[in-house]
Amino acid sequence: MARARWPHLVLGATAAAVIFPMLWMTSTALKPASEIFAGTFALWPAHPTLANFTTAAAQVPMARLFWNSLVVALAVTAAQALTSVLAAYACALLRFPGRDVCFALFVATMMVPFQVTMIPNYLLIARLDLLNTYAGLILPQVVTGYGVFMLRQTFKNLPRSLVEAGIVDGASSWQVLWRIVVPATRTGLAALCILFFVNTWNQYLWPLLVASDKAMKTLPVGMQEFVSLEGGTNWGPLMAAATLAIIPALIAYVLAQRYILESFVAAGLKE
Amino acid sequence: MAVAEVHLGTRVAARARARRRGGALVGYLYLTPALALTAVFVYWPVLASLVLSFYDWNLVSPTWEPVGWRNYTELAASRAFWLSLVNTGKAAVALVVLTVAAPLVAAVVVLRVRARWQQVYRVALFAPTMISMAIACAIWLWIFHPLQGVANTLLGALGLEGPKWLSSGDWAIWSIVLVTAWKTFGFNFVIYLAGLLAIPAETYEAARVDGASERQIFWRITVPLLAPTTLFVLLTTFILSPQNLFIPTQILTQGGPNEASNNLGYLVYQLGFEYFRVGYASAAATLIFVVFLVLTAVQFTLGERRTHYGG
Repeated sequence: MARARWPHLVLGATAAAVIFPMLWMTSTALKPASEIFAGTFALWPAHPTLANFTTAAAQVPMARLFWNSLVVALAVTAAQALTSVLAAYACALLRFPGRDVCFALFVATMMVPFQVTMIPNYLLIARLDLLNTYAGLILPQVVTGYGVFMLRQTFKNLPRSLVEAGIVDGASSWQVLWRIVVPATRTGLAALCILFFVNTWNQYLWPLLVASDKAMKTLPVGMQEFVSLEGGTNWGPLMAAATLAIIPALIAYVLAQRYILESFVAAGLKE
Repeated sequence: MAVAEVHLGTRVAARARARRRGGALVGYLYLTPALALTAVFVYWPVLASLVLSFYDWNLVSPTWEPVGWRNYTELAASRAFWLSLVNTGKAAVALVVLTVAAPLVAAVVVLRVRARWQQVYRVALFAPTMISMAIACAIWLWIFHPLQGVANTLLGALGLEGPKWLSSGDWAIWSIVLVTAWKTFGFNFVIYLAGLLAIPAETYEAARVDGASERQIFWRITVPLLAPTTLFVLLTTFILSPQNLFIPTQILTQGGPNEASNNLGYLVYQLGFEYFRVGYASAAATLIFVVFLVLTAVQFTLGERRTHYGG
């Protein structure tokens, strides 16, 4: 079967343009200063070096930033998963008055721009004396309307017979949730958790406000120290730090991309 | 007999009522954590922001001074606010073209290539979604660099003189839009792909048997059946635009030169955390909320109508 070439031309060009900034970052990270500022185009360095990585590690506490990002991202992911599972379960499979109103209240939070809640949340965290603490970084994000919305769809798509079998066996709703519903939807749950993790890992504005202390900054915020350090930006080390910061997210992604797409299909964003 | 039946009837009904009441209690127990946290960290702040917008406060002073509508009138008279509003509108429209229309086309096209290649393109196009916007912006700052930036090196190689991406009043907002589109394109692409995969193959086969052309299939089948997906993508792109524009603005231009790339999301941050005018910033935040609520409602109503028509 003769397949047309043009889809490859269109997609290949788009994909190359999309990937290019990441290639350029890696390329710059591996170049010595003389090549970085040569002003010519060379995707592969003539004399590759790891010097930028050592400079980056010496200038900014990369390990500490990494650790902060990890603690915050894991805690937020766990909390968001738990609150979303409980709320989505009630909204999808239990029947009681006021349920749909509550669901609407969760979905409506997706429409609230972050900028609207930012100032009062900052004031609240400041008043609780939680600036520059993990609790302050984590607390305002422990619930997500998006998670409740996505999981409710996933739970609703479960075969009814599966859930009813549990009820007939005399299991309580709590047992049905943890023994039947959660195991049956684990792929979708895992994909959603990866999205939660990556979103938190990548967050910038909230940590920028809450963690001014150098030791409490997360990776995306702490890295900005390289920008205009002592007047001029240190591009080589900045790109080296960016490369290090991006790698965990990209690895998680390449490993899980199939499930991430499947979770969108399963959630059936058709309603 | 009859009495017994009635009696039994009421007992069953009473038990069912009791179970429902118990059911409600259990239901709310599951909802409590999420509801309570949502109330504290979303609904309360929305109200607090509204209240703050009628005060003058500098973030440290012990007293708040009530100022009535002054924050709003001052905002309505400020150049920065109107520039921000216009820029946000321009950016939102550009983002709809770049991250709603283009991903739809890409998703339709990607399904025409072999499965192995589909996988490659999918992984590549979605990749920017997974990296931090702040880090992406650091990379773009380097790409847009006026002297050694690769964007202008490449344009120069083609014999073109590149623009001053970030320091020219005409270009700055479009550079921000470009970065935002680059970052969000893949997410919408994958959502469209999921929507397309959910359309049964028979629908297309039936259309082909009827002799429909590719173009007819796209406009008469794909687009209408994807209407709910489009509504979702449109709403999220739109609602998230102040948020998505914030990071590139903060890192690439700080709203400059001379407010030329300022936008509503950044303005609130600037007023609150750079000028320390909390009430004034809250007034801006409240206005954003109202504007976006109205526009979302309009989109939703129009979208719903289209959806029913299409479906």
